Amino acid sequence: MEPILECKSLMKTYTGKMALCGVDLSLDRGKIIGLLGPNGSGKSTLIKLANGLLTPTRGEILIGGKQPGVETKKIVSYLPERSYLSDWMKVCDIISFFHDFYDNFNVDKAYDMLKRLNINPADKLKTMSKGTKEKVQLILVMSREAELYLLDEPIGGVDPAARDYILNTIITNYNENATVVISTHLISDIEKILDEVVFIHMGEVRLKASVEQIREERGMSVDALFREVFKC
Amino acid sequence: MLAKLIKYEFKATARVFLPAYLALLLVTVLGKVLLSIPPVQQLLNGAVAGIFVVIYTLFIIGVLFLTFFISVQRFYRNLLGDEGYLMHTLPVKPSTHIWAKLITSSVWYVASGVLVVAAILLLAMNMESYRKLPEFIALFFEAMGRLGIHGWLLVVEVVVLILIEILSSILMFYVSMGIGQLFGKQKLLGSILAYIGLTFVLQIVAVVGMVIVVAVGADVFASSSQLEIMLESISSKEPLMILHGIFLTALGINVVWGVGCFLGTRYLLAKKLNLE
Repeated sequence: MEPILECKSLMKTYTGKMALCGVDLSLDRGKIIGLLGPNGSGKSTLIKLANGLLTPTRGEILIGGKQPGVETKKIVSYLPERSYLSDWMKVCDIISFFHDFYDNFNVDKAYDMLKRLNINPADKLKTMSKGTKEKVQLILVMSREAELYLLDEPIGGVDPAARDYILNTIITNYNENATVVISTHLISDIEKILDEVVFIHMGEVRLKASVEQIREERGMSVDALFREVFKC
Repeated sequence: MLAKLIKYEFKATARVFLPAYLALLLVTVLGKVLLSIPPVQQLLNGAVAGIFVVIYTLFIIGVLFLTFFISVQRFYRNLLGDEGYLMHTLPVKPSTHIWAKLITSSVWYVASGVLVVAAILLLAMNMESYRKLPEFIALFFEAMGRLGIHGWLLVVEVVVLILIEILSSILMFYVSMGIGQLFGKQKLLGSILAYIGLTFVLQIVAVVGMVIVVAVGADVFASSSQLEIMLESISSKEPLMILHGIFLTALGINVVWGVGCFLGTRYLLAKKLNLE
């Protein structure tokens, strides 16, 4: 089957600065993949390129064989690291917004998750804490029945208890053909749910391996390997 | 998708405009009532009336400025700010985003304009002027009758020109912000500089356009060497033709400029987007 995400000599420069330098990468369907790297390594740039929020300087990025555009946006569910919701909206307004624009948005699932995390759908975002807003965004993103989930720092701002629920949500809420890419540097928290990892550093892919492989061949956890590879 | 975007755009903007319009209406009615009570009228015939007029003028300017401000702010915040992360990952083409913002903004521009004129008329008109209203209307139609088809053509030209002017001026703000966001951390400054630069270019285009119209007109005059033809051409219809020429040139420049700004904005959103 064709890979859900493919990069061919993908390069991106910002005015003078090289963010990605010739990335070749292919991600299969049905996997939970950790995109791991230190701050400023190019993780967010890669994810933005996959969402069509940036245009490659050179090379190509394909989602399900297509260049980012209207068709790929239908099948990609993206959680940015920033809060993108308008303050004046209520949670239920945003749910109907998502329902209106995404055919694969599951309203029942969204309300169910809100209930589990004790978030009132009638609350305005203005009144919510940063962590609660992050939870709302994650609920919106995971309530879509997408083929590719791109989660940029999904657990950074929430408490450990919610973190467990969120990770649980991620593994139970996607179908077996979908791929979840989680970008983070909080590795130990998510290590147990990952199938594969991609190490990225200074705009280059350093390593792509399955978690099993790392444990068997190197006899160490992903967290330990990360610390070794990216030792300062 | 366009209809859905417009629906949400109206939702996001109506919560600002409707209260503002309601406030304008209340101030107008209040002014009308105050000024029509005879004792108050006498009392007001002085400083207080003056103060009311000043406040009212500020209010009108406020509504018009708000219309402009919201139009710019919606584009900047919703498409180029953090909300852009959501908007640009919707399965929607960049051109559809521009249309949604443009159509919604234009509707508010027209609504604000009509409301402000209506409010001022309501406040300024008294029984006397109401009585004279049919007379004015009759006069207008008489003038139109004399101008014939040209009169109505001019009316249509003015209305179309105003609408196109609104569209192209909004698009000019959009493309300026699109250029401004290329400046990274200095987005706002970049947008303002881009706008000043574009205004300069537009002035040159407009001047060149008008010079061409005048030159062509002068050419027509020059070629008709005979006095009779000269006199004939400066007959009663000639000023109307010059007016048509001016309106159509302005219209043409605005349409070309607006299309250019639209295409520029679309290119910048599709290929040069740089969200923080």
